[in-house]
Amino acid sequence: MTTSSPPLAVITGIGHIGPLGSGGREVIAAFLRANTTAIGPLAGFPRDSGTRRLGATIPESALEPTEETRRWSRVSHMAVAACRHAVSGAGITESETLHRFGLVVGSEYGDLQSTEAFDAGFLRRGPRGLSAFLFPNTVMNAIAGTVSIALGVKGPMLTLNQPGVAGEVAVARAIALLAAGRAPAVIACGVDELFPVLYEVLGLLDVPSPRGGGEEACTPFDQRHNGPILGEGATALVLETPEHAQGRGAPILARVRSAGWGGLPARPSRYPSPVRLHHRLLDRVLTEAVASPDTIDVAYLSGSGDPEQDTAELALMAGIFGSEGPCITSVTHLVGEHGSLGALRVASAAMTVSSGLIPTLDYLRQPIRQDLRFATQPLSVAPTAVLVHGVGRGGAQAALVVGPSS
Amino acid sequence: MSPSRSRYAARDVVVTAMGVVSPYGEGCRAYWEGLSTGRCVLGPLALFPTEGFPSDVGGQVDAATVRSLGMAARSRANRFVIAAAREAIRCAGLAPDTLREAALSIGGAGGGMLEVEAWYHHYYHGEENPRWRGALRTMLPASQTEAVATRFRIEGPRETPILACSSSAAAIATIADLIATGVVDVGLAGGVDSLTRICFMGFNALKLLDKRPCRPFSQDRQGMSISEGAAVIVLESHAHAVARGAQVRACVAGSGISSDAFHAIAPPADAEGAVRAMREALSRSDLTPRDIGYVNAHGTGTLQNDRSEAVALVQVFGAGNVLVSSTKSLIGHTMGAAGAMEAVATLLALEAGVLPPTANLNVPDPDVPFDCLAHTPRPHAVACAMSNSFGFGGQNVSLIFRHPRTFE
Repeated sequence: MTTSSPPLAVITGIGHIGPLGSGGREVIAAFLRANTTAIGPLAGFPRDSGTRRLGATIPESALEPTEETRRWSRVSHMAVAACRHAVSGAGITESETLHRFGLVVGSEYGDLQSTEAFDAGFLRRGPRGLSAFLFPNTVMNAIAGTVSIALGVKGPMLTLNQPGVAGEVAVARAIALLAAGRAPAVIACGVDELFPVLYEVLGLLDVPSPRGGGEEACTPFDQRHNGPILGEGATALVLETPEHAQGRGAPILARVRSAGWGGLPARPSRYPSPVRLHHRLLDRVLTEAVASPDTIDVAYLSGSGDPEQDTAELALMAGIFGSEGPCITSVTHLVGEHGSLGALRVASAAMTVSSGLIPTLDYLRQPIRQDLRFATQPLSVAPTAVLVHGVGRGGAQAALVVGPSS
Repeated sequence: MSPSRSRYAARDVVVTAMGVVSPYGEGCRAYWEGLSTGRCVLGPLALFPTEGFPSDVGGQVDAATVRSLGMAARSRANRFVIAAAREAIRCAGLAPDTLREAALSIGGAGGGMLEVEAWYHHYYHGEENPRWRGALRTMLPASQTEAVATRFRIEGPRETPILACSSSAAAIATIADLIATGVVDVGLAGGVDSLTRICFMGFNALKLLDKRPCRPFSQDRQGMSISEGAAVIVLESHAHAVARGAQVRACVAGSGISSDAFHAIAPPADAEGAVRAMREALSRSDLTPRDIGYVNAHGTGTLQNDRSEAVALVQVFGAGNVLVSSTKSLIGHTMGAAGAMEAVATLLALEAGVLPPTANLNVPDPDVPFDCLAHTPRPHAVACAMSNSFGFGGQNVSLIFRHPRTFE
């Protein structure tokens, strides 16, 4: 890991579509300010989903098909919408500019809905039931392919599959593409959708709340936490080298001072055990950002409400920051959990450093750790350094430090 | 060879070891014996029922090889990739501390879908069995990366690129980037895919599978042959490899990654994206087209892909100016693993000074104006070679490898 300190990348555009709205950074600012949740009883899920009934989905009105979008899968439509908002917010209007851009899409489940529909076609009608139209969507990069065609992006295009931290890893990899000189600007997008079969299957695996009984609720970091509430959405960021952004006179919302990703020891499909945690990645990311632990004001964590994940992540925070650490927050209680939510965490961190907005954890009654600070009140001043951290099943880990534009 | 680059730089990226599982069996030796003798292993698939489909031809890792890999409780894809990584790590002689800090990127497309399909078919018919749910935990391609990371205690940057049939070529390119920019000193890059019913059914539905073993660059070609396998390459900075006394097998001279922004499954007629990827790889290698002696083509055997790749090769190299072959004609198209498996084929060809042939090439297509090494391997030492990988969604990746003898 390098230890130089220049801003690795600047964020010039943010786009989002999720249960709380669709648009540019103003949409994210609005729901961070309102701090109201989109989680509620799911409608329109035809299958029996057992005892579970909560989730957070995008209103169908936000994804009305048009002549352009009618052949896109729903998840591709979500990604294109988020990327278009981000590009628009970055003030990019010329297709010639976008030709040189790169694109990184992070997703946990990709277009699994099309895969299920393709296989179901065979089970219904045999080989005659197979859709040549659906098949290309069964490969996860079809989402990025659709975005690249819709926007005219012709630079390097990567799709990264990663449980839990797909969004953060997409942003970190986009920055690595900038550092390698692959493109002067890269759009990083995290996207995952929720659909009936996925909801049911994750229920069969006892992933969501209420795992092991209790109240079905989204309560990350609280003694009541018993699994995540599932959600969906897409968040895109336009990341540029500082020189490129300045050269085109782009509005700079925030800068990414450091970014890294790696792995912690964990059993397959499990979160890291607190007894085997180490801080190597966090140490390196803080060093690269030239930020001692006491200069980090706020930390956006995965905070899904999964007890194993919450425990591991808070143990990491306590280990590196101690009791005087940053104010810990999350966005999961607002929009539900999905594997690529990290892109929204990075976008939210950009809003926190630019406008001082922070989601407060109003549901928090008894934190699982008393030695850490949680966001229970609005900030009085905009912070200068915000950590975004995620940890996924299998031990995947990502961390970024976001700072203000100047 | 370009005179401007006759010495290694410290951050040059070199290959120090490789591992493979292929339809020829386990290991690089079996792989090279098959490729270098031009033995085509394509035939009727036996892994799952194929009745009712136009084509049943493909490549398959035989049951004895799969049994010999051990790890019977794991998914087929996990067994392949762990075995390939094991061979690469053993050959590289990496110390545990070095391995722990290494980056890891395993590209794929289908993940552990073979086992999930079996679960899903029961679920669909209302016969879901909790005992089979374990398959769901290996469904995602990332689970293969996770399996390698867990098995070998690798804790550096970890990623699972999905670029359809160019996934694992991108893994090599992006891990090389992390080494070149100083993020890590060592990385493992590769790819894996096992046969799946969805892949088999999908390409049949698209009418892209040949009823006979595929015939890339042949005028009478009628499509591809799907296959399976895994390959993992150990990459290091030159300085790191020298410091630990590792044998440098080749240099990753450069790579190019581009997208077409054109169509979900078809390349543009002018192959503009593929041309950009090849030219970027040349530019980053500080090499000229004349320096490249051999191209391991994407060469799927479909009408459109082969024609488009030929158009791109003509633009970059000029008609007839480079030797070309498709090793997919020998082992089939291993999907997300293809880029890494063909990179290994290219590296072994560089080492041996023997170029693998294009099998089944009976009627050369006049629209492919290159010597495509029909049928017979060609003893021919080359200094630099390119490996091309393209994929659905408009993905293009080109890798260039350089023989160590070209450095002082």
